[in-house]
Amino acid sequence: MIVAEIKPFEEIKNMIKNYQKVLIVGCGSCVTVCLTGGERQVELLASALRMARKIEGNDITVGELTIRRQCDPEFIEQIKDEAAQYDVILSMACGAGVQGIAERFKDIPVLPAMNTMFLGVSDGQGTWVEVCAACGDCILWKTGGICPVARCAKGLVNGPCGGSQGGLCEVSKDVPCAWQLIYARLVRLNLQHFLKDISQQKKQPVRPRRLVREDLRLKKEPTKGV
Amino acid sequence: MGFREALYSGKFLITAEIGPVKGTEIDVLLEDAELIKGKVDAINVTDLQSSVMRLGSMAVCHLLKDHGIDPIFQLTCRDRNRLALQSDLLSAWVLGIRNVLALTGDHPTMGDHPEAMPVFDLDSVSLLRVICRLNEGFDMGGNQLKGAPDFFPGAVVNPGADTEAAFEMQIIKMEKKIEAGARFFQTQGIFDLDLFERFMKRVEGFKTPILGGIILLKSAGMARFMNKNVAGVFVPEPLIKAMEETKDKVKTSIEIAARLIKGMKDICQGIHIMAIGMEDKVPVIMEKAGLL
Amino acid sequence: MSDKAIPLCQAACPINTDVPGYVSAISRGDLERAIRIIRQVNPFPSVCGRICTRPCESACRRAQIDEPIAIAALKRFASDQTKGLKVVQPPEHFYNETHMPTKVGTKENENNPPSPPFSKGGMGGFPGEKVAVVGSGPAGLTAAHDLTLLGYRVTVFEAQNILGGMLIEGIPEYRLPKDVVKEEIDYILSLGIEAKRGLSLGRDFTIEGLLKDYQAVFLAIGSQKSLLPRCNEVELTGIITAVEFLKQVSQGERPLLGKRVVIVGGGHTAIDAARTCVRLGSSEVTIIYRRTLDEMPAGKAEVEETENEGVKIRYLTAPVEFLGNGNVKKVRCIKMQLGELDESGRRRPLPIENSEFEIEADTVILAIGYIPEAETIKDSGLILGKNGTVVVKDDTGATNLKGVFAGGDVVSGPSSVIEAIASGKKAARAIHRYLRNLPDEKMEEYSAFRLLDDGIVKLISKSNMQKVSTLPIEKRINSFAEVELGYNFEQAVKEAQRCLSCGTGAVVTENCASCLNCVRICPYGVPVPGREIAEIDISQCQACGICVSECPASAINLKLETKEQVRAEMEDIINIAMKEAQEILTIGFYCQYKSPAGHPGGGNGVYWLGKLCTGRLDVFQLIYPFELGADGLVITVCPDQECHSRDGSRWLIKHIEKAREILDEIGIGANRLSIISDVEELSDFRKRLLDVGINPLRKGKKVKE
Repeated sequence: MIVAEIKPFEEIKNMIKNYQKVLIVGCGSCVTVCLTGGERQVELLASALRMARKIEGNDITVGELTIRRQCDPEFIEQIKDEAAQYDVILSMACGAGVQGIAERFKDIPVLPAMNTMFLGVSDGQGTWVEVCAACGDCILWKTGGICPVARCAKGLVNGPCGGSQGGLCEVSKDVPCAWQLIYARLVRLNLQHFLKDISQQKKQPVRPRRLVREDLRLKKEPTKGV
Repeated sequence: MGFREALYSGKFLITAEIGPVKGTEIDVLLEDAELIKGKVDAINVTDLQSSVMRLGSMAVCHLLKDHGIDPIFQLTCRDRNRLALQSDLLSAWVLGIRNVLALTGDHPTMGDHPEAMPVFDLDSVSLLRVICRLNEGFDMGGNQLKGAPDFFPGAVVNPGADTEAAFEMQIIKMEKKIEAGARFFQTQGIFDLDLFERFMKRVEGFKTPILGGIILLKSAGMARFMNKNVAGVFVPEPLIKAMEETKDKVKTSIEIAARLIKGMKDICQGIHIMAIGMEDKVPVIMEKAGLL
Repeated sequence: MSDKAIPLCQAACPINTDVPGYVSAISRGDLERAIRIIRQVNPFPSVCGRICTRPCESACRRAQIDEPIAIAALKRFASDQTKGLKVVQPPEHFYNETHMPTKVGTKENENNPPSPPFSKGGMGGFPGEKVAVVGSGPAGLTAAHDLTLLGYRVTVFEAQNILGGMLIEGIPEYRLPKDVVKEEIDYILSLGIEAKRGLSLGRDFTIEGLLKDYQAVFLAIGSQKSLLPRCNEVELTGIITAVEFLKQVSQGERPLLGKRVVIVGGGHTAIDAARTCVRLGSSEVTIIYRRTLDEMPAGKAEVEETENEGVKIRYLTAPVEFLGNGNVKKVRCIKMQLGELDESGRRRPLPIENSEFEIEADTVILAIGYIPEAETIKDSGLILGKNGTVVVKDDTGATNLKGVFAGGDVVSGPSSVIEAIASGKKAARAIHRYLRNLPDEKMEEYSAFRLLDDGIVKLISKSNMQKVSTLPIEKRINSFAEVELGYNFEQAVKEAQRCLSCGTGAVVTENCASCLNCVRICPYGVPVPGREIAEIDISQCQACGICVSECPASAINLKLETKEQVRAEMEDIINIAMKEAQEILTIGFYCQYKSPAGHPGGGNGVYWLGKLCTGRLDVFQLIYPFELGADGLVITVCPDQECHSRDGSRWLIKHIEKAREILDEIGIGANRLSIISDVEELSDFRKRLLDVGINPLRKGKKVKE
């Protein structure tokens, strides 16, 4: 899932300072799953903003909505009537969601309430870790299912740097050295020979990336460049 | 005799290391270099060591060259993508730089600009391959060069990796580096000769010269700090105690270094002295170690 | 698990009373809500609270941990304490289209009366249509009650001059005071039911005659004719039937029994007769019963109380012959042993040869069984069964005569009050469907939750049943004063709080984002990842509400207490506080498990709101009072190891920390929200709050920093 965190309250307050009617739109997918942008947080942020603005003597109307996904236009379409009644939309989704809404409602400013962080997995109660860099050139089959591009601070693909201590990364004592994990897993799987593959080379993807699947399309016209 | 020639001559190799200043005052640096000029086979110039922004390695290497010292151009993958790396290599060549030490580099968070983008487009292994490819007259994209360099590439290895996995991977990566073109290795600072000897036995078959790293101790505190914070460095307790109890820290430090160097003569093919601000002591150490 | 599965207590109850619903209301001290829930299905709460056979308690899963909940005692408490309250509840689930008893008692339902023809207070709906109910026992009066509420005009015919049937005549005063019965009956009649007393079926009117004036007849004449043992000399003077005996006593007569009384039988009536004898002064009262305590229809607790009062019980003993010359003098008995199972599922008692012995007796009371008085209906054309019971088609009570329905003991033979009530309700439903020409529809059958998993049982701390205090023995045996004294408020609330709240727990809605947070945080490990969304087995959920306040999608609802209810409660209390114009408006949330008798603050201007575990409060609920205008908010947090919901306290502290952070960010100030552990801390907090001043939101402008 995409992991995101809520921006500092001051920053959000500052973003909306010139608006009187704010629609907060939560996203029911990734950011709900990582407990930051779902209906509960929408309710909390709405209440906090109302109170903060009232204290400043600058009352605000806050609408609250959560849709299933902000990265699909059909879901966004569901809120068009509500959206029309507000000065600004505060999206509690990842950057993709924010842009999805901005693309649909071109006359309403759409502001991000979140900082999008990474593609991650859950690591127990209230913890998420980055595991995929979306590099577009997956080598997990050679690395025991552990991605060095995402999980090594330097993204090294040819083995570890010399900086790990006690199996931990030189960057943080909270992070295991990805290559230590890879080594252990490959030994366990009896696939150590992958460690000796000479000179792996990273490929940089060309941004912005897009995926067009002609086999899934009937329409001939080119896709819209969002 | 340049470094490459010294290496092929089979003599016991001696290199030292200097770190450029943060700024433009290069007088001290050049004075230090002058002091050890002629006593060492080459001088490494670090590339923004510890990710701290400072004067560049290429410029200092060039100055050393002008002073008649054969420099080893340390080049890390931290700050440059493949375009910049290749271009800098060509630039270094035309400035007379012949030896390159390819390193991955520390992460920017270790230095004074922690928010800098960590590039790591290449790593030490792929950088070595690129150097060899340039030597062959081609860039990474397979395009032919007009005039090719002829670098003498080296790499580093950390014999003191502290876990079995890390150690094994150091060996594997060392092999990969050799395969990618590394012609010599310099190591992290060594304080335990027994452990180092064991490492050397393990890599005996690689047939690539290794220069054992010598770090000059400044104090017991520094030793302890390195034990805790510098990967692959382990100063045994008796040495720390000696530094602690001595009245003349410099003298003791020199004695320790000299003793280690003497020991290494029979184990590896050379030494690499990292004086870290005590560059002026290098001649004394060498004298004590019987190298002069 | 079937959607139709309901809590075991509710499933065991013949009228599917929403036990967890009203017990939960009592656990919060909300007796009005409790009696509303009870009255939704039961017009005899005070009666059932005393003499119900309590199948619910036998089914209660709390017994897996320690002892069942004293459900009947709680019902009695709720009913007795709300006597003055005129609560009329629609006879909900037997009549509406969904028939889901689990919905009963929710706020939503209370505000949403069932669709017509129901009309409050009767006399609405179908005033032209009249129903005759023959017999005024619990079956008859329940049917009359429900039919009246459905809008029919009902007339009850009673052969005696007093209404109530066995409730009045059969059950002794010390167990069920007459005025309790009378009050419940008066209440039922007050809905607009006509009662004709002293009119006897067969003598004063016939079914055929009734059908001329009434569109339907419900026959509920009971089963009061005593069976006699096949023994010699059963007609000796001094041998009487328990029914006759109890009836006499109930009418104020005090028959002379002599010192030694032998009672034959093992049912409730035998026990009632024996204890009545004790109260009439007989010093040697012996019950002889042919089986053992295990087979006895009377419950163990009742037997124990009886023995405490001095009654001797001889098990595995049957009468063979009564001896005497005019007056009975002795009972000749034989010892029995238990053989194979019989058709009742109990082991058949068999006489042991040559084991006869005699017991001296001045009076013998026979309580071995009852059948309906078939004489009264033998010419009615109704098909009668073996013992004179009326044969009905199915549990609708429809008989072979069109428009004539039967229920209660006259159909089933002697049974319990709650069965009679159930029968009355089923008949009322069937009559309604008959009169409205609605198609036959089977009553929904509900399955019961399975038992609690062992893993969960281990996690629930033990707490024994609150004992109901009883009248001391010496006071009992000299009077007919009620033996059980009932709970006081604190006992009742504590007892209710023992309830595991089965079936009132978490329900996952389609909003679930499958984040599995609930799976990770449930202190009982109930939620599991389903194929699409998280699944919470309501049969195992302990209703702690932690998942509800942590669910990021707000996709979990607690049946026990919806978010809307909590919000409304908060709004109510703050509105009250605002109206009372307190200078500094402090709201307090306290744990009702910790303080069952009421809020812990006492007389210091704090407006308290009790929560069954304050751990249920989510972050929003901790800042919302400020948005409503509160100046300060205090919360009691129970010590970790004492938390009723295991992790409730720890989550609450997290929520408070987060709420304080938000209060700081928005400029209200974290210092307005505080945990308090005693009254002293509360008054310190109040003092500090005076310095801080009123909530800047109330001023509507920025306060000085």
